[in-house]
Amino acid sequence: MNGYLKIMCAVIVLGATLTAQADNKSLENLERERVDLMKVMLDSSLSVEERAQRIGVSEQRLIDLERMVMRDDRLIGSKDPLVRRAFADYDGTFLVHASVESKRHIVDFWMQTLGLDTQSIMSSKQGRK
Amino acid sequence: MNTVQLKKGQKIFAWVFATAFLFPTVGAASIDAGLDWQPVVSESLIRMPAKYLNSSIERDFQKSTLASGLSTLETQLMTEVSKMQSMMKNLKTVEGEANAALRHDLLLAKSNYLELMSDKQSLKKRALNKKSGVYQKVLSTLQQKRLLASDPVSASLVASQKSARERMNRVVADVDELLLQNPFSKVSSYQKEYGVNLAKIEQLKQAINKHKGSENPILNGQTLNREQYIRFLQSNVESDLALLDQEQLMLGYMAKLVALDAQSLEHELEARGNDGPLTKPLAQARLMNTVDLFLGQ
Repeated sequence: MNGYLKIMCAVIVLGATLTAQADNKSLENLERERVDLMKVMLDSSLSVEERAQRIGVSEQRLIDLERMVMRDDRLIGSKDPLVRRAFADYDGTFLVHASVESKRHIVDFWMQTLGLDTQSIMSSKQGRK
Repeated sequence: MNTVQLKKGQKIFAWVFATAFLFPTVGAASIDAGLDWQPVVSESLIRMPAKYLNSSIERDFQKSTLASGLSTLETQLMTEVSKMQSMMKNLKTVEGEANAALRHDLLLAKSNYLELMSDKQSLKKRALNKKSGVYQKVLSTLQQKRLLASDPVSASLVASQKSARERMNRVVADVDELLLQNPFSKVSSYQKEYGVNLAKIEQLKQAINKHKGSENPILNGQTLNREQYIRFLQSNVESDLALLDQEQLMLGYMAKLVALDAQSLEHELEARGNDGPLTKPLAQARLMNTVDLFLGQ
């Protein structure tokens, strides 16, 4: 009986601990991967092929991470500002899925979310503020 | 016990009863303040299935010094009761001084019993108040969580998460197709195993929902949710507290009765004098009884 109670208490504590871990590790991983992708996009030292290859690898990781975040029930209703910000900007957070949805290449799509297109870049002038 | 000791004790006896037991709360001051119970409203208690909540709190209480103090008092009370019962039985068989001594002993036993009972009630009240506090805390935590979940900010976040899921689910197939076309990509183990795990998770969820531990408590044929059940437990504690108040009133009346018995015994013994039998009232020197003395000479 005593052993049974100990097991029950341990299981309840374990269950409570597992369900209480409302952290946002999945979202943090996604943010890190996104930063890596942006570094690759902006790295002028890479050749076109190298960049395309590295973006492809990054895209694959991002697909998994975006789905992990989206399927993470612990993030539902979370008070964390990171979570609120992430879901307030779907296009920026779920870059791969949003780019496929808009039928654009991921780099173009990202530029578009920032308000940068060829026309605006070409019309910009170099100068000192 | 001899008669001399008996007489010395009487006045003190009556005084103790008249003061301490007419006001049971005064008697409570004699309880050891070290007897306590410090229940903790932990996250595991809040998340525990409602039907196990009461027994879990009760188990925690049984481990406390307050519970062991109550148990000790209960044993002492039972001893006093059996002592009183045996005295009551003997009282009918003895007479005279022995009877008075036995009555005195019985009053002492009653006094002890009432004192112990007063201590017990005080401890019980402390335990019930603590228990009520635990239920109140669990209830307010649950209500707080419910309010937090339904506040406008959280509600809008949940809505945006729901619409984001729907939006993503619409393009999952397109993304998978893109993945297949990508020469640098291959299907990850996450994607391979996710579907399999998802099915297993659904099975586990169903098993949890069907498990009898997850069933809500049923009262009078009506299923109660967690909050309703805790409110029911809380009202039970409040009923016990009300009954305890009533018992304290009974205790006060019993004490008054014992005090009256003690006073009556004291007067009886005073009237008997030092050596036993009651002093008879002096015969009155009546004139008519002496008439014969004056006649016939």
